[in-house]
Amino acid sequence: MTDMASVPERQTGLLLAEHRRMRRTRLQILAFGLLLLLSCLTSVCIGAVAISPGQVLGILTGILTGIDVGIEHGRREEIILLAVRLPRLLLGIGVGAALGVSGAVLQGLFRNPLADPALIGVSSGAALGAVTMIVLGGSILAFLPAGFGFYLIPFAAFLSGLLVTAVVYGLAQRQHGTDVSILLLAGVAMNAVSAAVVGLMMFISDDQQLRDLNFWMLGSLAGATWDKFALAMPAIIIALAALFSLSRFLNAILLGEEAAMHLGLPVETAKRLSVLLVALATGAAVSMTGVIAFVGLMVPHMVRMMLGSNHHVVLPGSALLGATVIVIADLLARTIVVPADLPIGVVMSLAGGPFFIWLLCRRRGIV
Amino acid sequence: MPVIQVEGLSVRRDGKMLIDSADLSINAGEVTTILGPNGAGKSTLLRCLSGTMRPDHGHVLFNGRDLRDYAASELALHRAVLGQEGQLAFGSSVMEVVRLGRIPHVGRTTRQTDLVAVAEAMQVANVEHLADRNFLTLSGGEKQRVHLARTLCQLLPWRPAEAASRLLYLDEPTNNLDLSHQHAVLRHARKLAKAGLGVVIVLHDPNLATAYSDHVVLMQAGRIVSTGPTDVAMHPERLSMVYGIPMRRISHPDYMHDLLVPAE
Repeated sequence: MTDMASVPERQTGLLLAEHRRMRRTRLQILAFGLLLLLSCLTSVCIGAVAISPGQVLGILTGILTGIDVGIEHGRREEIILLAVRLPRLLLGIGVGAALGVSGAVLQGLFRNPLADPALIGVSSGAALGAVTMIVLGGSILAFLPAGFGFYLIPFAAFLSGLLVTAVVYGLAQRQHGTDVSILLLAGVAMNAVSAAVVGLMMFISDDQQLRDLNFWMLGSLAGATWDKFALAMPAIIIALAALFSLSRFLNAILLGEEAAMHLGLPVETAKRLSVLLVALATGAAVSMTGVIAFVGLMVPHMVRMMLGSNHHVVLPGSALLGATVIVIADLLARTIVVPADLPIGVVMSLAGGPFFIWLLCRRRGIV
Repeated sequence: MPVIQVEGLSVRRDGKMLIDSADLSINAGEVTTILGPNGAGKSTLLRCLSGTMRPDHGHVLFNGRDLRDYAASELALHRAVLGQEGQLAFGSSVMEVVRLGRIPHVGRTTRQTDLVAVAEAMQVANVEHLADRNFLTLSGGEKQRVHLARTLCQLLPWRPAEAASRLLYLDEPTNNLDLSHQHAVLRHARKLAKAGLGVVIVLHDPNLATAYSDHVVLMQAGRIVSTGPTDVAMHPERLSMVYGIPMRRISHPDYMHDLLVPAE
């Protein structure tokens, strides 16, 4: 049935169009990368103590290569950059990438534009673990060696995030696979239960605990250290790399689960793996910074509006844009009301909500 | 040898027999239509034939081999299914949607082969001019044709000798289509059968079935009531029994096929 004469001609045309498309996509991703780089540089320079971009460059090359590039900077700038701003920045990048990609994966998997990482219970589960540990942890801490307490809250958050996700996923198991609508409903139910327990903990907590707890519920990068960074990053990087490799499956599932099966893909395995990896990435992120709303919901939408629905592009795009959004939001959080540090969750929702509404209106041609 | 041979196939769900000991064979180079009232088990039968659903009893032989012995990825190279789910979760260009049909071939062919298969399928389904359009903005008929192209490119390219071992399943492909598009889709199906492919279609309209099929499988309440060449299987008495309304056959000198209409 192939029309032999026209094939070579058609092939060249198609290949050319394909190359054009690929080049445009690469340029778009590159632009996303540059945007992230720019926001990073802005973020490390601005703060209570201003550091010039030249000084940043000088300190970093000095540390990384040992070469003194001859840009003058004080000891104070170096300490602030290396011990405060850099770990905070890098943790923010990791967390933003994790939340952005997790949101994109779940929206694709559930074929639902409203899905976000909080929906499968991982965020509320992590909050449950962290809050319980903040309020009741004192008695446990007494038996542990000093210094261990630092890891206890993130660890409890991470574990309980995974646990709640496992319960949600377990509830959605049916004889012939996972029922996505039950999964979403179970997520809503488990979120309610977690919220109730968090409320109970708030009720019995003292003033100091309530402050800690609040910060955790609203999310903040203020406590970022190299230790936290080192703890969270391996899980995030592994989970994201594995999620990227599921792009093809996520593309196929745009057509529906049955159609993905017709294409020969192991739908059940891939579904299970996606949820597990999202729980891992989000759990690792949220356990370090607390719950940061909106990134997982908003970022994938912005990426799809700009880059289309191909997950080979949407996932890296969401990682880069998620990181950028967190970096900028954190910059705002720590500079709007100097010297106070606003919770980043507040900034995200304050700025993100209206921005998202604007995007939606624009898409419908209202603005 | 038939492409598909079914022996003693039964499916039971929640205590109800969806398919009750069905025997059936399907030939390459023919259009086989599965016909019957709502709930007769047409789509269930199609799911079993295409390997999406495991029967409780009996077996399906595809090219002489039990369907259960095929890996999902291998099966996808030899049979394609146009299902009833037609909606896309997020907007995507038509070109990208059709390309999804090449997923089973990733790592097995060159990008060039992929692109040629995509182009050829788009030509057959007459959607070449829509390549850069957003799928979500298409009309129902255009969407269905895009899905047809996607399903088709999954099986391309084939040498004439290979066509006979490949199967195309279309589950109610005429749903939501206007008259001219219904006939266009079925004409495509006939063309593909002529090229040597086995084509299995689930349909609702007896007259579309008579006009386009070589072979008809008539189902009622999970059983195959009659199967055979179209003229034989589509006997008005059998149709009356299956649909529960009296049917009769009307001939017209200008029309190649008889028309089946309710008698009252």
